[in-house]
Amino acid sequence: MYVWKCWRDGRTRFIVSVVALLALCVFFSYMQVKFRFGMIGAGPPSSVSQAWSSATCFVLGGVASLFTLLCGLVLGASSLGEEFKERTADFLLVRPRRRSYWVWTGWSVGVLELSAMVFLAAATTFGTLAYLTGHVQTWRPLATAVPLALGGAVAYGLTYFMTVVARNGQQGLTYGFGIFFINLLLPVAAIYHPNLHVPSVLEFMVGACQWVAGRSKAFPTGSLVLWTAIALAFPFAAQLLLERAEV
Amino acid sequence: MNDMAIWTENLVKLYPGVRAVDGLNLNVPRGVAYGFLGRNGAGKTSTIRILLGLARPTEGRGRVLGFSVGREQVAILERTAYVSESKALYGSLTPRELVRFTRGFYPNWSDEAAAKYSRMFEIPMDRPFAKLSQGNRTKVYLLLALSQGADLLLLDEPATGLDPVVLDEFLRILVQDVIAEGRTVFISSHQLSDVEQIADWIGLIDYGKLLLEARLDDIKSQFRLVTVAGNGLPQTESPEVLLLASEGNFHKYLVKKNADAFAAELSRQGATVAEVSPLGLREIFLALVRKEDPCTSGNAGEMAAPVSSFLS
Repeated sequence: MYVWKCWRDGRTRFIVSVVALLALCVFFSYMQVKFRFGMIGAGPPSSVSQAWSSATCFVLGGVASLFTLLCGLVLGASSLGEEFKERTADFLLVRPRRRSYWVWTGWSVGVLELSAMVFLAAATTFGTLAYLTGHVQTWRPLATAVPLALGGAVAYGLTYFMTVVARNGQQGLTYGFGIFFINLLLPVAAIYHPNLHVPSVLEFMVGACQWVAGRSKAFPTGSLVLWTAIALAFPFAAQLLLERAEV
Repeated sequence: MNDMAIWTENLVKLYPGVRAVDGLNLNVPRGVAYGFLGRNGAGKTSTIRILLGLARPTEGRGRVLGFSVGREQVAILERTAYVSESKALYGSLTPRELVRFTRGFYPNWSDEAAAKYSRMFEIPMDRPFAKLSQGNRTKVYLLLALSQGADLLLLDEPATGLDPVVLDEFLRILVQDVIAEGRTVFISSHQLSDVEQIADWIGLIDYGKLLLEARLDDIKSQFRLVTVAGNGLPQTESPEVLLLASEGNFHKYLVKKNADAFAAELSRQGATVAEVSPLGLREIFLALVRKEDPCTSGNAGEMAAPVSSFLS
């Protein structure tokens, strides 16, 4: 029943996010094919291949990645921590379940929503490219859903955890955005230090999408492990915090 | 301790600058209605929150329905229904959706009971909770608690916003549908008259300390206010004489038991016994928390021999 409640709480935001992301994917796929490669319908095989690769990198690796991160941050704000602000925590936490149940169930619903969202985005981009170029060049764009979902889970988990820390959705979102932008800016700041590499989740998503599109030979395995660990660390930290929290 | 619905030993809860619960020893038998009385801020809600695992005790331990507080919390929560003081629920959900949300957590949930109480309380089941009046919000909370089939109902100021008709109906339900089935009701309130209607046992708390725990019948049959006139009478407290006050030569004693023997002893000391009168729960409550007459004047006067010496 908690799954149902989590879905009910976030469904409006989720549906709006999905519609917006799909519209962006269609729009930017069209722009790529039409204006960058100047073709609608069948074109020379090399151009078609380039259009697919370029659109996969730009639309999914760029636009959809950034949008997924933002959605993840926003969706995380309607998590368990918001129950404290709404003063409903003492109702929820006296239901006969361990506190870890509330944390992992709520987190799982959010991650599933994000996964569904990015899979739809990848499928829509794939469908749009197939329609615009007249044939299916490759199924690989669908695989971008994996790094996108992982990146989204990191952003979602960050706000989810910060919301539990702050016991307030809005504050959790503010903290989440702050940390997220620091994570985006640090690699830029470290540009003058060639030996210093600050990992960024967006960099991982873009890198993975480039590998899927065939533009990079090395799959970022290390980053995949790192960001998977970080994505799981946030709900785990939220669980530890909540188990020790007084309501 | 396992035969008790609630048992606590030296329970202490400290908040910064506040000793909310101070060495509380509760013994709530199973199958009774227990009135947990106290002023605002006396420690009633803190105690309940500890029992439910919402707060951790600083010291002490407790058991609820035989399960250890803190260590076997899920087992406690499966068997316990709780009505919180705040009555806050999800504003966007309707009472019908709240029932749907809650029922899945409880194996003994009764849809028949939920339907019955929703009709009885005349709850608008399809209006969002946020748009309900305070009274209707309380009714929804009560509906959810009563339908759980819980062995123990922990009710924290459950009558908030209820009109007299619904309140009367609710108290009747507690007696007929809950206590009569051998389940336990622990009702925290400062509405003494409501509690007095149904309670078998009374626990009185102030500044986190339990001042009194006794059967209500015993309180009514044995507690007496003894008013005497005389000089050199005992002016300190003992376990049997809970409180005393002096105004000039007049002294008032709240005597827990053997009031006639106590009065006779005072007579032998040369005092004139003006009155030995029974006390209502309200008068005892006021006397014990030292807020008003009958026993408190704030002028205890010169210390004399302890009262216990007169009772021994």
